[in-house]
Amino acid sequence: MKHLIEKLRTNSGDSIAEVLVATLVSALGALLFATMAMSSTKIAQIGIDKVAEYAEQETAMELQESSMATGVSIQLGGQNLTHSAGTVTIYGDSTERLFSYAKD
Amino acid sequence: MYLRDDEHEVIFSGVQFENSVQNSKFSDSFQIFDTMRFAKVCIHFLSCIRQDDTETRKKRMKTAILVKKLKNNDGATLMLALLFFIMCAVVGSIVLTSASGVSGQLATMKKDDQEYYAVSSATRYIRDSLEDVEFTVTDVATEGADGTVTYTDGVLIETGAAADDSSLLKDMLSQCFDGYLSLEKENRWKSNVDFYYLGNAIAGVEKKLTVGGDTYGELDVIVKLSMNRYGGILAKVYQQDGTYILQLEADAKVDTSEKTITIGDHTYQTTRTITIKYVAENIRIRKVTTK
Repeated sequence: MKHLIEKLRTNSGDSIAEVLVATLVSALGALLFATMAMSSTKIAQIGIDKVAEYAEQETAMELQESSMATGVSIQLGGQNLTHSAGTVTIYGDSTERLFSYAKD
Repeated sequence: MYLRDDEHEVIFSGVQFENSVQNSKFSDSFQIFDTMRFAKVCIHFLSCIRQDDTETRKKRMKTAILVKKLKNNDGATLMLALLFFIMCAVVGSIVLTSASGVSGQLATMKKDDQEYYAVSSATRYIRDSLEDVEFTVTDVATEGADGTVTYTDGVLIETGAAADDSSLLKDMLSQCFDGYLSLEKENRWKSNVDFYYLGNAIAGVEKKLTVGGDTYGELDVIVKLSMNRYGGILAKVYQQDGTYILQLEADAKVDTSEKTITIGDHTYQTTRTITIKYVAENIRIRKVTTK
């Protein structure tokens, strides 16, 4: 480290080849960082959008605003719990695969 | 003394011995030894030292090369550039990993939420189903003209159910009622019999609750149902390998009523009806930690 600091302070120059290679390596490093940072931003933004969309769908499901299917049969070990037809209405989103249901 | 050849000096009891064995200082100090004999010994000693020195010289040369390399500034720019590259790669990786973690958390959150909705929906379904139904058993005692009484066992009826319909709850209550029906018929009519006591307790039976067959596999849960001897229901609802466990407790509301009907002059028909209901105020849902 001492010698690196020394090198930074010294006025003597480097060979053109060394400078060129060093510049290339530094540029590659900067490019790599920039690419990673941009990808991170995109991924984070996608994540935020997904969370917002998910929250919206979850709220709609909680409020039972729109049903996906009605009259869906429900069975407890192949039997109805009580004599009345065990059918339910499904709420949720088939894309997100998030469901809840309520008795018809 | 110290011994010395062209390149080396050897300390030997603080007395100096020059390369030549005829050195006077040496001779003066060791008069009891034969000078020439001692000189041979010294030459042999010095030759050994020379061999050792060859190895030492090699080591010194290596050390000198290393020191030279350490002090050399050539190529430091490239090293700086490499350090910068590594720093960029490490920091970039950390940022990228953090961003990717958010997506991973969303997937975990969805799985947890789905488990919660499956378990809570099933528990609410059981509660709603219980609130709808009523079960009755009517025992009939008939006194004949000759004074003898005949008893007819009541059949458990689920309100609104077809005669051949068999629901899980009706099955369980029927088993529970077997305890009551196994009592001696005469005893059943005695006023001191506690009719609230229905009979057998039903140990926990595990049933898989499915919605729409395999279409909504995410909603499959396991319901562990048990019934106490008073008709009270305990249902634990959970998913296989899940973390949410909801428990539903429903106390049975049991009413008994008796009727005496006069038929003709001598025949009395007496009925006793036991009604079992699960009313909303007697149903509780809470989260538990054990299955």
